[in-house]
Amino acid sequence: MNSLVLWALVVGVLPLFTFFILFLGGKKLPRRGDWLAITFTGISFLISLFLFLHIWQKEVVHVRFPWFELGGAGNQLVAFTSGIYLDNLSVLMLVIVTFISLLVQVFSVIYMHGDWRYHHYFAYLGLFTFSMLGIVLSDNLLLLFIFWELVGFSSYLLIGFWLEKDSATNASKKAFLFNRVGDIGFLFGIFVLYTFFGTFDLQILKDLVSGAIAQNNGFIFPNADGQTLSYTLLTLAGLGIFCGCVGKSAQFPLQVWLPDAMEGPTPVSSLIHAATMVAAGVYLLSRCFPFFTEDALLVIAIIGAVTALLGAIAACGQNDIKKILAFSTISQLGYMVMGMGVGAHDASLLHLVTHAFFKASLFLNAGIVIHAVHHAVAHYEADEFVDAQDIRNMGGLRKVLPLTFYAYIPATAALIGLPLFSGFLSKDAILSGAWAWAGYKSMGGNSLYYLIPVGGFSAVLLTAYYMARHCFYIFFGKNRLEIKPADYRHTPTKEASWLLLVPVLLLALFSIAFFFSPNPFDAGSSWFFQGLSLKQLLGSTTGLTGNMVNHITEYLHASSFIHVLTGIISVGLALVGIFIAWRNYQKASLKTNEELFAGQTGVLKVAHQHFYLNNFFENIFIRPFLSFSQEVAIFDKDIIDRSVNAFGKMMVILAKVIGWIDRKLVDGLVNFIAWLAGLIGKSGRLMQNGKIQSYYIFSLFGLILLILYILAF
Amino acid sequence: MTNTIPLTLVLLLGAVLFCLGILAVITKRHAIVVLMGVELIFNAANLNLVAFNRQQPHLLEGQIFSLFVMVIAAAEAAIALAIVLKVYQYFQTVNLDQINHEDEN
Repeated sequence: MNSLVLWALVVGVLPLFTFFILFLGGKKLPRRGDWLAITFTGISFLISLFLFLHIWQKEVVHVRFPWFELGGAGNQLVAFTSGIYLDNLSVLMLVIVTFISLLVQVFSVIYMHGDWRYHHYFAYLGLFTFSMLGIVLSDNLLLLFIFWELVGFSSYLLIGFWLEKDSATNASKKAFLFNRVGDIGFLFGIFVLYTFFGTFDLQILKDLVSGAIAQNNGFIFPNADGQTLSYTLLTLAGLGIFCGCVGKSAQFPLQVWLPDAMEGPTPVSSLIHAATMVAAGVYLLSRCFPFFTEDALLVIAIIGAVTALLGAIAACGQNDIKKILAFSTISQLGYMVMGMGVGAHDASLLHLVTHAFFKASLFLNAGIVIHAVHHAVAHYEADEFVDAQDIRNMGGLRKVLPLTFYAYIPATAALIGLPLFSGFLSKDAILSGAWAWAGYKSMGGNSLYYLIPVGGFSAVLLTAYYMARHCFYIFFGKNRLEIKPADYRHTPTKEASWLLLVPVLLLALFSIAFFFSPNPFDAGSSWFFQGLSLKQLLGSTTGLTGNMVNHITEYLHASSFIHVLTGIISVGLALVGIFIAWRNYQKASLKTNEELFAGQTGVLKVAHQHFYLNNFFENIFIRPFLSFSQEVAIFDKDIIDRSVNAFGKMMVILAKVIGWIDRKLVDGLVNFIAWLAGLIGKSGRLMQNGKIQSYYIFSLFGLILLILYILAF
Repeated sequence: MTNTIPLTLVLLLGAVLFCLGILAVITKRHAIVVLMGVELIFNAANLNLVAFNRQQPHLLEGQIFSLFVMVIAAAEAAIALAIVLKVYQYFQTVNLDQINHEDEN
């Protein structure tokens, strides 16, 4: 076996060890075992780097192990395999997941210090990392689904980590349930693919699908015995798989769980939003890209664009720092999904990578800010509760937390998509891909396709607005709580512990474009870009869309103005957004606190309430469901319970009758036979009375009888 | 030999004797009386043997057989009386109702 596979196994299994050791015995370890978790993750990260250097653009390693066998048609055993698949995408994901998990754990040492379930926290982080690594490494859909569910479960544990808070447990339940809704679709998609192609193995599926020929309402698969399958069903299968992504990656309309998931500890949010959970959906889309038909991709692109836009609008109405970042995650995920939908596969994955770094940085920074404000508020004798996460309670933190500020700005710039920062590269690539797709698709005359890139560009403006807005509120101006700067700090000279600052600064460093591409204005020159292209990942095989992606790429190359124009437009929009944010901030900074905290109106209120989506789900699904279940409960109690009880009573009566029969008839018969035997015995005993003369009489009587018998015959 | 007692009367006497013997054997409690009943039965049999000898008077088979019976009955009576004696020594009674192994316990 290839030794690289063994190393990959070690990478995956180490976090699982962390989980078991810390979960079972973390309490007894010195420092509750945080050093163990960090060491193990560190080793995982180093091995991932080693794997990355060996695999990236060099080779593809795929090893299958026999897993189990099931009876199939005609009494034949069907063998199932599981395996490890290492290609460019998986090693890149390995490095990102382990790296961010490592930094988050280092950060958590200080952030979670003193929590009574400190060791459980690190154990759950280990389980979370393990599940995500499992998704990345597995080579078939069934195994991937198992890890997929594990990710859902461990996110449930982490979001509801502060289980004494009702809101946290509710949020964790919500996240879990919304993910379940998506997973049903995912399962359906897997079933359809298995029914048609008889395998879960992604590589075999890819080969079977390859070279499919579209033919009136169906596909002919030359590699799968030339069978013909309906176009509609394959589209539905693709949409089913996409449903899984909608749940996990928080796409419209299931995105409502993600803002609530902010109830978890901030480093967890960082991990969920950057590398582990939400990235899984986009990763799945990439792995299943060959199985999507053009219509399925169109739906994916629309959902992605809608999510990007809705998330961005909702973020504009928020005042909670974590909520803003959560909605920005939704919006950025919308970008990635849209990128997948328009066939900008490589751009979408590049965005996943860059986003992982700057979003992790933003969340960890937000953690420091909240920590500092919380610390300060504890000193401040407030008449009323002061929300440490509300950006309106901050201000002027630039001077108090300078290093945090310097880490925050590049990450924000990257998220907005300013040139020289990583976000510009990937977002630009997605937008130009979307434009090229719209251009290619609308060659038939239907220019409605341009709505998708237009949605994307509008989201750029909004992203710039809300990111700049909250930055101004947090770091600029004067401190609105009028707390002494020293109260914010960890020590008078230091703003925070180095264990908090180093991960943040490192991640912020990776927001700079040079780390991804030698030419900070062109994603095409990025060393990640080529390695993540569809051609690279699929090899010689093609998907259900045939050469569509290649055509779009050619179209993009042919009209090179798109690329330049996208860059100019998006930077222009971003600058406009920042400018509007600055003007609004200027106006707001003149307001008194009362005016600032006054309720929002109009669009902002709708945005703040997240388009009342929660109310929508509450009214359309949850309430009717609850009242329906109440009805069912009444039905259950009144009719089913009663009939069961009546049946029970009937059985008792029947049993009594049978008991009587048993006692009187059956027992009576047995007793009668016993009595008869006793009677015979008694009379027999009477004859043997031990008196010789009575025996004599009997024998004489017998003799007489004998004589009579002889005489008679 | 003309004034002979008819055979029927002799057989009737034998039957009466036999019945009396049986009656004594069955009803009497005393072991020796029972033995006397047994002797009566023997005698009833002897009477029959002697009576049936009339069919062949010149052979005297009946008389000789009855003599045998008497001798053997005498021997039998000796053994029986000896047993009764032993029973008496053992049970301290010759009442047949009381001679019973079950009663002993």
